[in-house]
Amino acid sequence: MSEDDQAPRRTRVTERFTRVPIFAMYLEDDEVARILAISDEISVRGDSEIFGPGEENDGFYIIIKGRVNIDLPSERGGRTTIATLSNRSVFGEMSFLRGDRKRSAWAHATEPTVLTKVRGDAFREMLEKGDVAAYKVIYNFAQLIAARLRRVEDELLDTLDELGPKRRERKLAELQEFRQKLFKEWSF
Amino acid sequence: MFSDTTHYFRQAAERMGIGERVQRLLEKPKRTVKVEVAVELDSGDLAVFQGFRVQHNGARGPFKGGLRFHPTVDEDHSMALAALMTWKSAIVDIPYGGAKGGIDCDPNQLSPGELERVTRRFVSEIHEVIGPHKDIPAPDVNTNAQIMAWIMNEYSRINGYSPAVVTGKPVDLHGSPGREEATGLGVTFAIQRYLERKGLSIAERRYAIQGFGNVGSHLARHLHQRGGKVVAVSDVHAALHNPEGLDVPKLLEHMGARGTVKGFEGGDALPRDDLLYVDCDVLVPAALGGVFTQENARDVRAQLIVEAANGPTRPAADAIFNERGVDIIPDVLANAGGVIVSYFEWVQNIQQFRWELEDIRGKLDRFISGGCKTVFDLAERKKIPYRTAAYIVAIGRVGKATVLSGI
Repeated sequence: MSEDDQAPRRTRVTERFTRVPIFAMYLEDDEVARILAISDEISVRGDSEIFGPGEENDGFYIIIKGRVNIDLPSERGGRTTIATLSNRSVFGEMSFLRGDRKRSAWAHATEPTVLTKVRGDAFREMLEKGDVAAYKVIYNFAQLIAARLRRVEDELLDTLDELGPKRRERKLAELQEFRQKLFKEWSF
Repeated sequence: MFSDTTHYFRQAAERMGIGERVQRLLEKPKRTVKVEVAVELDSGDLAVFQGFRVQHNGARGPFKGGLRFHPTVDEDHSMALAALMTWKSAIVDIPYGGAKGGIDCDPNQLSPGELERVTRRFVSEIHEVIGPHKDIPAPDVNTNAQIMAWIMNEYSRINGYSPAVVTGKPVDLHGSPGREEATGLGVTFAIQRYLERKGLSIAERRYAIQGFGNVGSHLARHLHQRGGKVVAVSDVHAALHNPEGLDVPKLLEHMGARGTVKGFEGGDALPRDDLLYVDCDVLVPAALGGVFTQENARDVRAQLIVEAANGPTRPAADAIFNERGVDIIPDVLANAGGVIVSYFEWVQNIQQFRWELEDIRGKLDRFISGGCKTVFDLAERKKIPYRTAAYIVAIGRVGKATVLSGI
């Protein structure tokens, strides 16, 4: 293969990754390429385990194509699926960011799946060296996690509102107060 | 910008004394649809994009809002922008709720055939949640009249002939006259209403316009026709200044021939960013978001800022302008001309009738002026900035529709 063949190919690969949320903000093509240089492409068959609880935490994954369930151990010894992820989603990042040495969940491909795995030790090394590409990825992680946290907070507050008569009463009282404000104080 | 919208919404909600629960109720979108858009590229490869449609609040009418094709499109951005559309429609009192969506593709990397396939596939994925009385998309970043025509055609193939499913269509295919100039003309009407309240008119003032694209150029033309003195304009290439007033018809001719204001001889070249600080009465940012910041807000000399662009003022700058007594006609009111004429297009499609351009201009004036009157009256009565008043009007109208229809 000539070099001419390779050049556009790399650009296409980089382009494909600019739509991955953890590369979405502020990463230049050469920075995406630096992250991809410490990554490996992995293909797994449908209905196969990518990792499970207790296994060594050695990086995080991006789904190129396919579908992956994230399962947590349930109380009765079974598994509860907490997320079904598809193209361009990232998983394995939470335990990586927490610095856990072992995995706490299962990642299970439910159909033939292609993944890019970013090697954890090499990524940490980029952080230690102050490579801005790695910090930009961390910023994107922060954005994703902040959005996720907000949704969890909303769900939690909604659930709390549904529970307990006192909270429900307070919600109704707030709505009643809102109604009065709209039709009296803030009428126009 | 997305968090700025939330900031301004909460500022208004707090001023109204609305509790946290009701705030969240109003902020939360009603529905988010996420689909995979798989298409075959010209090369034979398969590409899979993600498409979104967020429908924010439908209490006042069917959802309405743009579709953008851009690699950064995602659910969170679409959510904030959908909410912004709810507030904007409510402020000018058109019967819509807000929506936003798009596909995370880069149309510059797609051939026309690929772009058409992406668009049609997206419609086939979301056709159940859009429709003339459900949700009416419109052009936005990187989408245009041609794409709207494809949407109409694909939706019609499934549901029967339905031009009202989308607005911003080509004029030759059920589009509306006046759509092109709508935002710029709407800004002109908003300025006119503001000045009238101060006992002034457009003719007596000097204007600086940042951005000379579709909005800025139509605005300059309408201000000039009413005797206004456009003293400075800029685009991505250059800025021009003439304290005596630029010859707008000649500048538009130059722009038409060259595609930029650069090289126009009727004014002196300025460093581009200095346009924001020229001596003028009315300053109109008509291009980008985030141009006024904590760093530059004290250097602006205009007494009135009219936000033709979306989100040009960061919250820190907004606070400085308020403290300095600089009035701002906020984006949610000033640039609503686009969605208003979209509304007219939808009404014409439903009526199966075409209005004349003069009709459309008159009605646009009525809606913008109605919004201005409500917002300006409230701001004066409660002694609050126009932006806060505008969001309060929005919350009030959406809130009333919500509680009246029963939560």
